[in-house]
Amino acid sequence: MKSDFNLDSQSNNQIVIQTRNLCKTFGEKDTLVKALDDVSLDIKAGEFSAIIGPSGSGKSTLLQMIGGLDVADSGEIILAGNNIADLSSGALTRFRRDHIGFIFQSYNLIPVLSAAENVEYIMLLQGIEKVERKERTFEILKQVGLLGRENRRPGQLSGGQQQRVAVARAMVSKPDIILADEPTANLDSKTGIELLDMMKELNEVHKMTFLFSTHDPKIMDRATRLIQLVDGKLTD
Amino acid sequence: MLLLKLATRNIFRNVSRTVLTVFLISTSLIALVFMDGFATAMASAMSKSATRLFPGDSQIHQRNFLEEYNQTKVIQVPNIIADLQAEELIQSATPRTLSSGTISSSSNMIAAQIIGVHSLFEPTVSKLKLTVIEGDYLSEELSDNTTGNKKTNKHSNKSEILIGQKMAERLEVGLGDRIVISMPQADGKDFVQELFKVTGIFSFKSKQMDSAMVFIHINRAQQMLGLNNNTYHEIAFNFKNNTDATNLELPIFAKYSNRQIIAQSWTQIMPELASILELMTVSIVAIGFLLFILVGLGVVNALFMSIFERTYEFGVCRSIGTSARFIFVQIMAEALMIAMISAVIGCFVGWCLNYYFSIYGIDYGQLEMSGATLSEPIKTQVNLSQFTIYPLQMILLTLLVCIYPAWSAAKIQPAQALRKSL
Ligand SMILES: Nc1ncnc2c1ncn2[C@@H]1O[C@H](COP(=O)(O)OP(=O)(O)OP(=O)(O)O)[C@@H](O)[C@H]1O
Ligand SMILES: [Mg+2]
Repeated sequence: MKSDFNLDSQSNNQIVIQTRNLCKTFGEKDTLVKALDDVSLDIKAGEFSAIIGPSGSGKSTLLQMIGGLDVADSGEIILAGNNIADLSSGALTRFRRDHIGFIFQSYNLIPVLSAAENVEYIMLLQGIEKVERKERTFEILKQVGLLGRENRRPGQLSGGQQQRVAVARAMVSKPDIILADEPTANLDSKTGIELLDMMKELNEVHKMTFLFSTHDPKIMDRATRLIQLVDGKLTD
Repeated sequence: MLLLKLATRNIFRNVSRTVLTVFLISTSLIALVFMDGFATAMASAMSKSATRLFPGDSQIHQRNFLEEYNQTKVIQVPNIIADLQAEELIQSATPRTLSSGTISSSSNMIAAQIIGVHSLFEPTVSKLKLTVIEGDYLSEELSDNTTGNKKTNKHSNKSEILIGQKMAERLEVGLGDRIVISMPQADGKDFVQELFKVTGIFSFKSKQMDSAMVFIHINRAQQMLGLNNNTYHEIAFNFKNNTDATNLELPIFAKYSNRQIIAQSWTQIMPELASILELMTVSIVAIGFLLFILVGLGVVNALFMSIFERTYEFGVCRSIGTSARFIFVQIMAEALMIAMISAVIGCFVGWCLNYYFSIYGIDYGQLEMSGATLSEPIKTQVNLSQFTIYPLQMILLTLLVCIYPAWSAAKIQPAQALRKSL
């Protein structure tokens, strides 16, 4: 599955995410917004880093660029040695499917599928066999503490539970990078911290690289590294 | 499997919209199926009533007879009636002579078409015998026309004549009254005048036929016209299956056509009727086309709404690695499912309707249209093509119009879609 990309991020201290002079603007003339302004960033394998910054500072834009959801005006994004600009759109889609897990603020799940089916979804797209799919789904739902609720539809789960399913889905295909855009923003702070603690634990167990954005100072405490954005620029 | 699961669950996500869409497609399908059943039946009833009333499904004449009405243009082929009657596809055949003259009574004189008919064979082709409302139909032939054996015994029978109800009124005659036919002989040289006794009064329920046609024994007519026993102006014949008459490819038509004579279908003999029926077919196609457009727009609209509502969801799906093709196929699967559900419902209800009316018929009262009188209720026709071609067309149409919305869904840019509902 992952053979078509030369990823080997298993060894620690290797840089998995690298952005070089990333720029992105939206709008024209009067409405021109510099969402990202010369962002150069290195993220090492296994990091649990948070992008922080005020609203409109470019956090979502940066995460979307890294995930290949949008194209930069200039600059480069290199994920474990692959310059994503070199990938065709089909290859980019497969790259996302196999190497990146996405978690959004809310409505992450496909409403017509149950929790377990949502988790299985990507594995189905990947063509993984049923037995293995079921096994991995069971395993990951256990890890996020949702056993017994696997047949519920998203509408029958609380916001926190939905986010746990989203985390489970993002992790089940064992991606190299998990990008989370304010995963706790719609949760109360207790639930948010629980979710983040769970993510942290999974990060430590599975050695996956986590990059998430947040507003919440309590959550920033959990991060191993803080990356601050102000008006699209990195500050220290 | 995943596709099927997603498609089924998604179409039942907004039940009322799906129900409406299904309603739209299936109602159109029902309308199409019913219209088809009705129009086919109506066309067949019209042509049947027009042809089987008197003219016959097909006729043979000498070439140009119908155009010129030249009475020397006769059909003179030995055994042609017997040959026709023996044909596999043909049910019946009868010879006729056609001539014009005047009919006079003691009080009036009227121009008329004098038709010589074979009293035995004529009822196998036309409804003449059944339309006699007063008195009797012509008695059995005195001489067998097909063999030409002459048996001139009882002279009185030969003066039998059937006249129309309207003509009887205008001539002020009734059963048993004497009338005189005056007409030129076929070659136009001599003029004959002979006495007849009204044996029967008929009513075709057509003003023109009932006021201007009279029927006499064919051998009497031949005598008057100075024609041989085996010569006719017209041979009318019916097919066992009346729709065969419109199939000009059938070898029968070629077989009974040569340099002298020509066999023609009613569609050629009565082109006005044929074109009216054709118009009916064209209008069905036109209505069908309109329905297709309506259905197309309705389905596209419903699908676009459903896609628009799910933009964010598609954005998420694309972000986590769903291919654009998968989204496209998913939407097409939803459209296919809606179309198939509609097709099943449409076919079922359409079949019920057509089946019901194929038994009980649709009563039209009396409808006279271009020589065709519809007096019996129209019984809709049920045929397989209604439940194969139409639903298939509907499904294909739905899929075709859904390519565009599905393609738009597949093209959704994840970054933009994700911003949309946030
Ligand atoms: N598609 C777009 N069209 C126009 N402007 C855009 C678009 N996407 C982002 N922007 C602008 O780019 C800037 C950065 O947006 P972004 O969503 O990345 O901020 P953010 O840090 O995620 O903010 P928040 O904390 O509110 O989520 C904002 O000023 C935003 O208005
Ligand atoms: Mg944001």
